[in-house]
Formats: sequence, C-alpha cells, structure tokens
Amino acid sequence: MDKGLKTIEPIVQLKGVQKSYRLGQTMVTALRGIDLKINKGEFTAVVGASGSGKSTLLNMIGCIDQPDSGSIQFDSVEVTKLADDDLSRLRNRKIGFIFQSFNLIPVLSVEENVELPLLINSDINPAQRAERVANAIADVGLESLKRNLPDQLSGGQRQRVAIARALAGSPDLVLADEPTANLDSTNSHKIIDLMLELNARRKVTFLFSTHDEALMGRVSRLVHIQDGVMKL
Amino acid sequence: MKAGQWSMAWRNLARNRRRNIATGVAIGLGFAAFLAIGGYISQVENRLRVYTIFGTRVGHVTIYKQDGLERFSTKPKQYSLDEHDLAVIREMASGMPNVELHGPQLVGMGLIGNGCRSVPFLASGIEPDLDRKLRAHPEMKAWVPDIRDFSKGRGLWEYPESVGGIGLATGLAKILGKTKVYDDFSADHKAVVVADCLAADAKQKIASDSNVQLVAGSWSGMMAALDGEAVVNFNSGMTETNSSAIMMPLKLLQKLYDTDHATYYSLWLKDPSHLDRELAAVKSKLKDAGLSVDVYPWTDEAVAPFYTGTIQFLGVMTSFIKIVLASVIIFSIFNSATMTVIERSQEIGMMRSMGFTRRHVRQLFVVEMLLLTLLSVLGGGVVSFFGNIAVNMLKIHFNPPGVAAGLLLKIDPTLSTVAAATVVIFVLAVLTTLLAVRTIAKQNIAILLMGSQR
Repeated sequence: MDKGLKTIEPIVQLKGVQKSYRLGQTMVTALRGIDLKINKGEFTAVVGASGSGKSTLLNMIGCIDQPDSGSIQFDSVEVTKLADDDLSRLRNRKIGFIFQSFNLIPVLSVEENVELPLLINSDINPAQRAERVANAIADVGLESLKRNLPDQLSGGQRQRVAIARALAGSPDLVLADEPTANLDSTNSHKIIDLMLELNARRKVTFLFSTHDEALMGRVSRLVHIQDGVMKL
Repeated sequence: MKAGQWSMAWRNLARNRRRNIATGVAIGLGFAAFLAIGGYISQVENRLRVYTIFGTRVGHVTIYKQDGLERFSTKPKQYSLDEHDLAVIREMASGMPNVELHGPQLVGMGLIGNGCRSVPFLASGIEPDLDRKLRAHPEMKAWVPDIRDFSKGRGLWEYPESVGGIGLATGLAKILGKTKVYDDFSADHKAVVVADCLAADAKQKIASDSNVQLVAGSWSGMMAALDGEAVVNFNSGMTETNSSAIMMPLKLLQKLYDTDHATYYSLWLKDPSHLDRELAAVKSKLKDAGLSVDVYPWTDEAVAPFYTGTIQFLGVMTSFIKIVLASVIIFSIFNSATMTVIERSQEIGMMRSMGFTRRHVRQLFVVEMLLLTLLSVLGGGVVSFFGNIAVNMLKIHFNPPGVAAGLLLKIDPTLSTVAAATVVIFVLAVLTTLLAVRTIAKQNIAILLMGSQR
C-alpha cells in the first residue's frame, strides 16, 4: 500500500439490500438492492420523496430492522447475522439516533434524558457518565436548562437534547431521520449548523434523511433514493 | 442501571395517575381480601385443630387395639386396650421426651335418667387429672376457651371418687332438667325421690338435686347401673353431641361397664411439627413390645372426620374465592400494563434503538408494577389492619352447621398469612406484567418507532 495515500475507511457498507414489508393486504418493496458505502467522518444526507425508502434505509443502517436479503457491514462486522442482544449492544456503543419527533421521555429532565443510553453501558462508570452528559449538554448549549423537563423546552431545544443524547455515548455514527421536519426554518438551520459543527469538531459521522431542499446544499454528500433504488 | 431504573419507574407511575390509582386500588383491596380470608381460615383451622386434639381429646397420636376403631362398638371387650396394653403404652409414653401428656380413655353409650325421664348418653371416661392438665393447656386457652371453660360447676378432679362426679353437656343438662350442679346444693343435701313424675311440681323436684342415674349393658353381658352427681356442665362443641355427651372419671365409667379396659390411649406432644417421625417411633416401640395396635395421627380422617372434612370443605370454598380474587387482580394489572405499553410503544422503540435489550424493556415495566404493587400492598395492609380491628370489635357471632353455641367471627391474619399473600400478589404482578409486555418487547423496533403512525 502506498504510504502517501490516506485510506478512507467505510463505517457502513450495504450490498444488495432488499426490504419489503406488508402494508395492509399488499406487500410494499421499500428497498430494491441498495449498494451504499458511508465513510467515517462524512456528513451525508439521504434525500428522496416521501415513501421513497429513506427511513427504511436508515433503519437498516441503524440495525433496528433487518433486510430480507443482502449484506450490511458496520465497522466490518456483518450485522445481519448478529443476535438481538448483540445488535442492542452495537447500537448502544456505536450508533446515536435523532428522531423527527424528538422522542424524549417526558418524566426525565434534560440531563436524565441525555444520560439514558449511558445507564445501560456497563463500560462507563458513574463519574465518566456524569462527565459525558455534561459535555454533551455543553456541546448543544443547554447547560442552563439541564434540569428542565422536555415540556418546558421549545421544539428546537428538544431537538438539541435529542442530539446531546445521541452524542453522549460517543458513537461512531449518528443517524437522524428527518431531524428538522418538526422545526421551523430558523431552527432547522440552527440544528443543521449544530450537527455540522459537531461533525467537524467531534469527527462523528452523520447520516440524516431529509426532503428539505434548503438543507441539501449544506452537506458534503447527497444520496438520492427513489422507489427504493439509489440514484446517482 | 438500577438506581436510574427505579427513579424512572417511580416518575413513570405519575404519568397516568388515574389508571394507576385504579389498578393500585384493585391490587390493594385484593391483598386486603386475601388477608381477610387467610386470617379467617387461620382462626378456623386453629380452632378446629385445638378442638380436635385437646377438646375431643384425640391427642396428636391415638392408639387403638388392632381394628379397634372400626370394631370397638360391636365387640368392645375384644377390641379395646387391656390392662397389659395400657401398662406397656404408659411406660413407653413416659419414656418419650416429646410426649407432654398421655392417658387412656373409654367411650360408651347407655341411658341417663333423672328419675322420671331417660335419654341416651355418649360417655367419655378420662382420668380427672389428665382432664385438668388438658384444660390448663395454653392451646386450649388460646383457641377454644368456650370448650375449655365450664358453663357451670367445677372440674371432675375437684371431687373425690365417692361423690361419683359426672359432667353433663349443657344440652343434656337442660333435657334432664338438671340445671343446677352438685356445688349448688349444701353438703348434707340428699337426693330427692320423685314419686309422681306427672305431678305439677315434678320439674322442681327433679331440679332440686344433682343426682342422675346411668344404665348401660356391661361388657360381661349384664345390665349395670350407677348413681352419679352432675358436678359440672360443659359445652361439647358440637350440636349433635351437646344433648347427649357426658364425661366422667375413667374409673367410674369402667365400673359401669365392668371392665378395666380403655377404648384408646392418646399422646399429646410438646412439639407436633414432626408428627410423622413421632408416629413411626410409637409404632416401632409398640411393635417391639409385641402389642397388636393401630396408631393414628390426629390428622387421620378416621379419628378426626370433623376436622378433615371441614378443612377440606373450607379449602375448596376459599380456593374458589382466591381464584376469583386473583383473576380480578390479574385482569386489572394486565389491562393497565397493556394500555401503558401500547401508549408508550414509541418510547419503547426509542429505548430499544438506543441499545436497551428486550430484557431491559421487560425490567422497566416490571419495576414500575413492583413499585405500584408495593404501594398497593402497603395501602391494602393498612385497610386490612383497621378493617380486621373493626370486625373483631363488633364481636359478630355466627352459627355454622353443627357447632354448638356458635362461633365468634374473628379475623386475625398470621405473619405467615401476610407473607404468603404478599408473595402471591407480587408474583401475580410480575407474571401478569411480563405477559402484557412480552409481545411488545419482541416487536420490530422500526414499527415501535412509528408509534401511532401505523
């Protein structure tokens, strides 16, 4: 190997991934043989119309759904063959999730919501946990609201909490399914700015789905998907 | 994640307060009902146990001549314990460290009269000093004070043999018109002879002494009779025997039947918790001594049919009630847990996506239900405590079939009843919650995340 060339390692690699699911009486094919490679450190957006298969693709990459056929490698590990508990461990240690509807637990404060994924990580002691939570909250600029409950926050602030929660476990990949869909344009841009900043500073790989054209110009890579097929 | 898990569970309980209060009330009242049933059954069981062992003098272990239990009534001489048998058994019992009390008893039938009227009697002959010791036993004081204490008069042991003291069951005393006992009359009082039983003052004359006459067929085939003095009135415990039961010193009853035999020999144990072991030891010792006897534990249906029959009946009845109660609790918990998991399916999906395993999800809901159950059990315990005090203070008397003088309704759950009910409630809560959460924990995470969207 040429020592002068910097090797780009893929964090996720999909080969021939197919997925169908039943919707009422009909079978819907969501993904039709997807081949995709996401490299470490990338800031990628998956774009496509509603029903094009964006969310299904993110679910496959996030190991929360299994393909009917094909191969998905996460950090060179074939995840389609992993048992449920191993997949849970992989998600907890290596993947962060940001959801369209934030999915914060209403009875937990900001810092408790952020701490949640760390509670089941036995590799982290309480002191490390507290430090990570504090850093994650600081990264999203919510130190002054850390004791607030989610219903005391605005939509943008809630999504920041969700981002802090996704980052608290120091994941290799953060997946965001339509993270700005429930936000106004100002907050949408602020969230994307924050994600971009964290991508640059923490070197975390971001992959998010969107159909907001205003955001598409701000990403380093765009992946188009239409009717379950990748478009170049 | 233990500390966080309990804290989160605690706060989650507040999320749907009305539903959780309803479920908690169902669990709490169910628990209180379990305690009430358990407390009542425990009282009845203890009363029946002590009544059988001490009240009817069956003892913890009863020794009959071989086949004596079935055949004594037809061939008493052949199927009773003779002097030799009794001496061997007494020596054996005296040498057993766990035997607290022991002694022979004779039972028999005949006619008892007041000079004008004769009615059948069922006699029980016991050594007066053994009767005294049995009545002084703490178990009798605790559980059957109405059987232990005399309605009128003093115990057989208080009178010399020459008096011929006899105890009459209260019902029989009433039938015979012997409403006063020996001590109610002066020492020099003589038995009154009633010449004309149809005379207007016959009843008063009959009641003016304590003398009764016993007539029975002796074991030697002759008719025998003796005079006795009604020294005491007692409650036999059973309606069917309260109008015919008499008790008298063993020797006096033996004199009536012209025998020195006894129907059976009873042993009362200091610690009856290892009854089978004691039973085996008695059997072995008596076999070695060459005695042909049958040895029964007090729990044997043959010697304690009332106890075993009643307990079996109560067992069936309360089992049915317990099943109904358990069903109410199960359905309340299942309904509440199912609604909760459906409402929180998106949240479960989020947690699963963050790495929570299926076990973690199950744990989360079980911990919530454990907390709710704990609060409910504490509340139910308080309700039960004050409810039982109120019921016991009301001193409610009731008349179960066959029980003379009725019973006092008393609810007093023992520590073991409370522990058993608590365990049952918690086990039901955990199993029902697991059942309700089982399906959702296995659900595809992507579908869970859609929540109400699909």
